[in-house]
Amino acid sequence: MTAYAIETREITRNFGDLCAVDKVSLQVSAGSIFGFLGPNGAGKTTTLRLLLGLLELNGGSATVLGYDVASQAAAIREHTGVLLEHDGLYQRLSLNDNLDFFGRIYHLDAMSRQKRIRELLEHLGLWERRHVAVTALSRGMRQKAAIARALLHRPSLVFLDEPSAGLDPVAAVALRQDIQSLARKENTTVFLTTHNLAEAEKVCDLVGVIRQGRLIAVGAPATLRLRTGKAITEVYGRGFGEHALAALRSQPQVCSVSVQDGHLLVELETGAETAPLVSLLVREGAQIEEVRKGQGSLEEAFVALMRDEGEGN
Amino acid sequence: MEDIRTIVVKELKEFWMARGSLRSRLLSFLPMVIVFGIYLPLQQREAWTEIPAVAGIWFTMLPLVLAGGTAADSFAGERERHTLETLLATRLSDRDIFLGKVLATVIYCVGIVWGCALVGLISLNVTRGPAPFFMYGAPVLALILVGSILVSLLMTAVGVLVSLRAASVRAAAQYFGFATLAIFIGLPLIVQALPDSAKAALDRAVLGANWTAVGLTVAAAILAIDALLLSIGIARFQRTRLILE
Repeated sequence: MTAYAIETREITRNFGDLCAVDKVSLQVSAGSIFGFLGPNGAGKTTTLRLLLGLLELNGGSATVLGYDVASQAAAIREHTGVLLEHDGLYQRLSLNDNLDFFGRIYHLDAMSRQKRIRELLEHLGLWERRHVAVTALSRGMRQKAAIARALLHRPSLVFLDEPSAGLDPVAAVALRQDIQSLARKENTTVFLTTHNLAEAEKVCDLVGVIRQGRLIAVGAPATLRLRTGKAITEVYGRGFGEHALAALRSQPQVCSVSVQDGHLLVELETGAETAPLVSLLVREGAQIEEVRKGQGSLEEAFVALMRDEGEGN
Repeated sequence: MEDIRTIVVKELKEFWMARGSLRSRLLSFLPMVIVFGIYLPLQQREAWTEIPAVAGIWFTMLPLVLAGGTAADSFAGERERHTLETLLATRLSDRDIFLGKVLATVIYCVGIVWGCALVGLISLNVTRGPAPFFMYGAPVLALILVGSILVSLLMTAVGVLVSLRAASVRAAAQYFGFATLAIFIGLPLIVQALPDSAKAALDRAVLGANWTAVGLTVAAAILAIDALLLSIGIARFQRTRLILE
C-alpha cells in the first residue's frame, strides 16, 4: 500500500451544468483521521461517492488504498467500510442479524463473525441489545451500530458521511469518542465528512474545506485556525472609556473592539501580543482585573474561508 | 454463489420479519393455506389432483399475485428505506445483488405454492374415507413443480425491472399492477378482436390440441422470456444509475 490511503488528482464530477466536484486534489495519509468540511451541497458526499466508485469521474484521477477508482472500484469497496448519509441498517432485522449479514458479505467465517460482532458491540455498549430490531433502537444507537458495521471486516479505510448528524450533543460526543478510539485501536484511516466544526477540530488530524465543489484549504485544524482565525481576547476591569477604546482601535494589530456586559472583547490579528495592549489601556486610565487570551476556533476559520471565497467569486 | 446465497438469506429473513410478530406472520399465510390447501382441494376432490386446468392453473396463477408485490419491494423498498446505497457500497457485484434478490422472491413464491400443494394433498388424504390414496397426476405435478418456478421467475423479473426504476414501493407496485392488468385484459381483448373464422380455428386448435406439446412449448417460451428479462435486468442494474436515480 502507498503512504497515502487516498490520493486524488484534479477529480471532477458534473451533473449537467453543475460542477459538483471541481478539480479536487488531496492526499490523506494512511492511519490518519481526515475531516472533509463544507456547507450543505458543497460536494462532500459526491466526493465520497467518487472515491467509492459509486459515481464515475468526469475528469482527473484518484487512487484509494492504491486502487484506481475508475478501474478498480470493486477492490476499493472490498477494503473499505462506509457509513453513508443514512445508517443503512435493515430496520426489520435485529442488530445481530444486520451485522451478521454484512459479515457474510465480507466472507468472515461464522466464528470470526460472532467474535468480531461481540468485540465491537461490547466496545460500543450495544451487546445487550444485539437481538433488538433496529427499528427499536435510538438514533444514536443506530449510528453506533452503523459504525460497527463499517468496521466489521477490519477495513483499512472507513468513510463516514456526517456520522453525528441529527444526534443530541451527548450522543454526538460519545460517537466522536468511539470513532476516535476505534480508529486508533484498529489503525484505520478515517475519511469523515462533516459540517460540525467542533467535531472536526477534536477528532481530525487533517481537514480539507470544500466550497461549491472546490477544495479551498487543507491543513491541520490548528494550522487552519492560525491561518484564517482571529484571536479574541477578553479584558475584565473598569474605566473602559471612549479614549481607551479609541486608543485600542488605532492599533494596527487590533481588528475590532466591543464592550459586552462591562468587559471588552478585542479581536486581534493572528499572532498579535496582548501585553502592549494591556499597557495601553492602563495608560488610558483603565483598571484591569483579568485578561483571557482566546484562540480563534476552527469555526471562525471556516467562516472566514467561506467569506473570503465568497468575496473572491 | 456464496454472495448470492447471502443476499437470498437476508431477503427471506426480511420477508419473514416484515410481518410483525410470529402470530401475525403465521396468520398472514393462513388465507392462502385455507383457500389453496383446504377449501379448493376438498371442493374439487379428484379433479384437484388429476386435471391440469384445475389445481395446476391455480398454482401457476398464485405466483402472479405473490411475486409482483414482493419483487416491487426489492430495489424500490431498499431505496425507500435508505439501505440501497450502503448495499451498493459493499464488495458485492451488481450481478450477485440482482440475482440474489430475484432468487429470494422466486424461492418465497415457489415455497408458498409447494407448501399449499402439499397441504392440499394432506387435506384430501385425511378426508378420503374409503377412496384410494390421492396423489397428483404427472401433468398437474409438472405444473406445480415447474410451472410455478417459471411463472414466479417471469413475474419476479418484471417486478424487479419495474422496481429498479421506481422511486417508491407504491410506485413500483402500481406500475406492476398496470403491467399485469394489461396482460389480463389485453389478451382476451385481442382474442375478441379476431375475425370469426380465426376464432373458430382457435377453438378447433384448443379442442384438438396435444396438451403435452402445448405445455412444453409454453414452458419453453416462458423460459426464453425469463432469460431475456433477466439479461435485461442484469444489464440495467448499474450502481451509478441507481445512485443517481
